Amino acid sequence: MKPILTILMALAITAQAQNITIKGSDTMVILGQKWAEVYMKKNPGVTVQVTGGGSGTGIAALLNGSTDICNSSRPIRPSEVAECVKKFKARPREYKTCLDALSVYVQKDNPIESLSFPQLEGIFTGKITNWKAVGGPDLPISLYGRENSSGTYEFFKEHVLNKKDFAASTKTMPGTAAVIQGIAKDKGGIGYGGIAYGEGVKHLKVSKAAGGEAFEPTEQNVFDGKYPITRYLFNYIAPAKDAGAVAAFISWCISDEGQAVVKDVGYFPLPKNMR
Amino acid sequence: MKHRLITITLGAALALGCAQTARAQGGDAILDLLTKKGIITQREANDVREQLDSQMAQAVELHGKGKFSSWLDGVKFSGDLRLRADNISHEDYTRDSDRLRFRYRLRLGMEFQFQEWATVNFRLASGDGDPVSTNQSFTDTFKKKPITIDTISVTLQPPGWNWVKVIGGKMENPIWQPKFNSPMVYDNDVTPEGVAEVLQYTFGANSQYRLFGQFGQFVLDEISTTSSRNNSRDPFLLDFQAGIEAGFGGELPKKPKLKVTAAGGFMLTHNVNNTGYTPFSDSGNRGNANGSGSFTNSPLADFNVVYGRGEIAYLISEKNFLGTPSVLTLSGEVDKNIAGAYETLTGSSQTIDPDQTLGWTFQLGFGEAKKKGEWQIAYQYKHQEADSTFDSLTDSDWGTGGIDRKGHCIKGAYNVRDWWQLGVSTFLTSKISNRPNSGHNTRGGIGPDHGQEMLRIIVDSSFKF
Repeated sequence: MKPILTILMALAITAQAQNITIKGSDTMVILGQKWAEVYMKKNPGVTVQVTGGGSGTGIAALLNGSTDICNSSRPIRPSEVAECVKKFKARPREYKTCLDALSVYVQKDNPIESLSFPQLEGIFTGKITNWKAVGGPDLPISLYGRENSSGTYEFFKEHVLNKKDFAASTKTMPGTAAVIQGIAKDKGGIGYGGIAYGEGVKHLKVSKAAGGEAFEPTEQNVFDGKYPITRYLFNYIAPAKDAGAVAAFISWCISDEGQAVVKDVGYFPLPKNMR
Repeated sequence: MKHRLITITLGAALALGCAQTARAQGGDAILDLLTKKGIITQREANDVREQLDSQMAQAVELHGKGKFSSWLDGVKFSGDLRLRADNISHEDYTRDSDRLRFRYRLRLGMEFQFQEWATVNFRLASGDGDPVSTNQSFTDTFKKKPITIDTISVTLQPPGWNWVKVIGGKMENPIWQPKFNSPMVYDNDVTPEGVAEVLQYTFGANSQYRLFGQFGQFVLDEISTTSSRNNSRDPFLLDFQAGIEAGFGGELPKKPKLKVTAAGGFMLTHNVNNTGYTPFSDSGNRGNANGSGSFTNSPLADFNVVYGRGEIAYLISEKNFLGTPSVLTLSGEVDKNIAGAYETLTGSSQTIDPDQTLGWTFQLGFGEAKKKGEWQIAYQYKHQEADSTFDSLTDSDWGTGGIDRKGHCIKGAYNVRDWWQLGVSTFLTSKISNRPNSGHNTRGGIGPDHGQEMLRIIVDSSFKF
């Protein structure tokens, strides 16, 4: 009798098993994986698979139906919304999941403490090529950036570089972790990425105007709107899929429990009233 | 209940607005504000947004049904004008006249989308009806110049079947060829007449792979003469092509780092050796071996051309190089006419150099000229033997049009504006076979002409509107 019961229970669990696929932003991969790990422990019948590739790749996957949820570190573009409307007959559902201070990193030994938007624009477009020009040592600047399918790449280009192109000398790295690794070994290195990354490098203070007050990328400065490169990290989902196990997972991510994971990973939780 | 209340309130508030877009944006702003204030959750905002979108879509549909001339909304216009200076010089100018001519090409296109699944394409073009050229020379003491129908076709795509469409009429060539400076089988101006089926299937995690098939059944002529015993044997041209397009790396599927396109196919004619059929030759596109006796005006036999063609585009860097995308493009094609008669020339008045049935080419290019400040340059080598394909349809710029020539082509283009492009093409070609001249395209035949080179330089200024 006991083996039969065991088989029946196993069958029941198998029947209830749910697979959720998540694809997109590399910035959000560590957060997504941590969410998946904690959620699967609490919900044994659910499997959550998380992969990166960049926000653009995630949105393409959402469109062709190869993912349930798209992680994106930038808002979806109007042209992509139009494609979703064509495909799903409705706009995709957008969920803000948490806040990020897009950080500018340099090597720990670099004496520079802060940079302004005009200085960052000059550095990343290749007009400023030596740290001396921004008050640092006489050392060539070495640029680290992301692939153009990355939401972080697009966000930085749009909000900091005024949509100008990155310098041709920028080393294109496959993820923020690779950006950090590169800078940690490079005295003249500078790069950008999510606040949850950055062990072994220094996060610079940033000011919007030249000569203006520069602020650290802290939770308080983000909430107060002082740190100038702040963004939401998003989940996008096809309307028809926002039900059942997938909807439950998204609801959990923006619940107190999910937001505790956000904090644990290093991003900033959404204010309660915005969930 | 809360959703319903918010939807009704917002719907009523937004109905007072005017433009649909403004209404949608206003609705979003209000929902965002309500979420920010903690009055509704993100999920509730999404539910309401979806209901509002759905109501708006219904309203737009009702509005569209009530319009008298809604068909005008489905009309798109397009056009381009090209001004050209065309210089042809021969190595031995005492035997062949050098030429300098100034020409234009005008095309005016209209697309009527009657239904989501039915579109009519209509295009007028300059020229005298030459199948391989819409150029018109400035000549004849300011004589008025003709306008012809370049395309008139209907494209049907069953709703929800985005993998298939059927085209009927005189159409833009559905058969894929790489972007050669000088194409092999069909001049870029060829607009075939008949029916074509275009199939495609996209797959892969990022929709980065596409299988495609193009099948054309085209009419070459309708023979009306009653004196010919072959009057019922109308000539046709069929082309069956299948291929794959694959993207790797980069931003898939739209901007891959590496894009590979390859296709193979079979182009065959049927009844082109009918004595009642004389292939169009105003362009001077001659060079194929003809029949003998009463068949001297017709090609020796039907063509059975097996071909393989491909293109590899590699994005070297995300950064532009001197203002143009850093794209390196390598393309190539091999054509072989396997019709036995052309291998032996049995039954032809032509006996010199049988088996001129192979054509091949390769091209290496850099850059892309689509937007202001962008440029591209490409080098092509081409070897196209006299019977490798049907000469009436080959590139009119190669030599002075036609076949039985080999040589080089370098082409450069620069976009002064998004809508204005300057281009220069240089062709240095010579005849392949020892066959006698049968048209000005075959200069350099037997005797002292053989091996004579022809240099053609074309300067274009093109405007899109």
